[in-house]
Amino acid sequence: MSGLFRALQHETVRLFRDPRWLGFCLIALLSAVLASGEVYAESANTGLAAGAFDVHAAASNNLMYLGYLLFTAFVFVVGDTVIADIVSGYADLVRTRHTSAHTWWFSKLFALVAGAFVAQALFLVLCLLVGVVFQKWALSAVPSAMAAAPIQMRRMMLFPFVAATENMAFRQVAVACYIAIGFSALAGLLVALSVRVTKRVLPVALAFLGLMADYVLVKVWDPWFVASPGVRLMEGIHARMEVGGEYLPLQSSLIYIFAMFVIAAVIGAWQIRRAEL
Amino acid sequence: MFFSTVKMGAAIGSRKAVGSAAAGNGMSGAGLDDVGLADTDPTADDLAVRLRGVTKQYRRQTALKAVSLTLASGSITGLVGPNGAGKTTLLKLLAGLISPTDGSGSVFGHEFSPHRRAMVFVGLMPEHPAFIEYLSGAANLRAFAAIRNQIGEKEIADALAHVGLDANDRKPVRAYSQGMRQRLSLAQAIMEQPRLLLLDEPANGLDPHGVVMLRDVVKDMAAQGCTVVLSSHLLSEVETVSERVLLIDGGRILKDLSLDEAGSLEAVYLELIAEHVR
Repeated sequence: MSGLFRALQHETVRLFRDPRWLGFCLIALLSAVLASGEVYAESANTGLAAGAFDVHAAASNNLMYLGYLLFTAFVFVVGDTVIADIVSGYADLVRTRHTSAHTWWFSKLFALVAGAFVAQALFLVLCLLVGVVFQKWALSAVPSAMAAAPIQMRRMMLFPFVAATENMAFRQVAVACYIAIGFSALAGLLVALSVRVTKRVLPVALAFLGLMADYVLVKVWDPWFVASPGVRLMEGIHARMEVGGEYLPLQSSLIYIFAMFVIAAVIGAWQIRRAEL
Repeated sequence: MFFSTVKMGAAIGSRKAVGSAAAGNGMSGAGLDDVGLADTDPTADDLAVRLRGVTKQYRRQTALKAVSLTLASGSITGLVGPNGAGKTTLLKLLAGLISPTDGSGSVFGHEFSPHRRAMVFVGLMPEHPAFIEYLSGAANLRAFAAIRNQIGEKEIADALAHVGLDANDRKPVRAYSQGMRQRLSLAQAIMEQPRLLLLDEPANGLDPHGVVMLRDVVKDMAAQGCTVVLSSHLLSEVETVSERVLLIDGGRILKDLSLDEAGSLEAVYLELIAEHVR
């Protein structure tokens, strides 16, 4: 067990030392600024006061656009975590020190999950900073007037309905965690599928093309609505929102995401074994 | 020291016993059992490596063909052969990074099996070493050492000093020359005092001082009981440092020779490879 723990530690530290996180931060900051602009426009149009947490709520509810951007940026950082080591030969040096190939793979997967949570935490903090510093909105756990207003009063569907009694801090942290789990499952699957194709650009290309295909399929093929990863991520947040009565329950989305994560872990372990590093 | 020192006499004795053995490939002599190194051999306990008819098949290519081989503890063995001969595959197999498609074998008594993947007592210096580019050499070694958690700062500094690098040098690896990267790679391979040291083209990019250092390190490690296998295109280097040389081509061991018996390695090499090509 201590060997596994050290492997987890080694890969996690390596991942967080990757300079590409700076690129992710810039994309996350851009997403936060775009979301704050939307909230600002909504607030100006309706006359309802906004809060700093609304920036994150709006951005999280915009997974078809900002979410795609963030996910692609996330895969840009973590997607080649296995391939790069295989191609460079680093995997040889690390693998001779591990007791099994699976230890190495699961340490990679753990690092990826940790990276997803940190990325979402970072995004939440950036959203709050943009709201507080640039828009001068209050950082309060109490829902803003705009967040608590009935749907009909809003011109744009920026973020889901928020109950007046809700704790915005808790709510947005939960949303960030939910998206982190979703990002982990999706990114893990991309990494697992690309282990044996030694092209470092493959995971991020798959992420971009896959999300575009997802977007198109949702528009043109109704049955895809239930299977779409993008919808699943968004629906998890929409789950409590009564809009037209059609939404997927949070529980089913959690099961969907968890199943995808398990599939990614199994495929990755199988692929690593077959890859014979 | 994490391994017991093995007396060199026994190792050299084993080497001579297999001095003229071929590798069970039918090309130039007897297989393993024919030369007296089967399980009943009195020196079998000193064996570091034992391969029996090991074949490694990739999708469309057979990288190793029915290779049988024994290596004595504390011996220094050179692998020579043209590009694509199977030298790196053999080293990766010994390192536990790949499994044989057919045949059996063991390293220090640990049998190959589908579940046996890597050998924790192996030090591997790959042909193209890779590091975390933005960390210093010492920081890279610390990161590697943390996985096994067997050694501390002193051992890391000793290994760096042994290969002529400074543990206090904070320069990132990306600024290293090819020769410095090779030295660092050698340091990571020896720092945990492996029982089996596998060196793939270790002299690549080394300056003359570096080559001398490499020789010293190899001989020091062997003197401490470590079994060394090195692959190189530099026949003179192999000749200088090795006690035994395996000539490989097409996944087969064409000749297994003891250098004190052989004449010029270059002449033997060229003759055998030419014969094999014909």
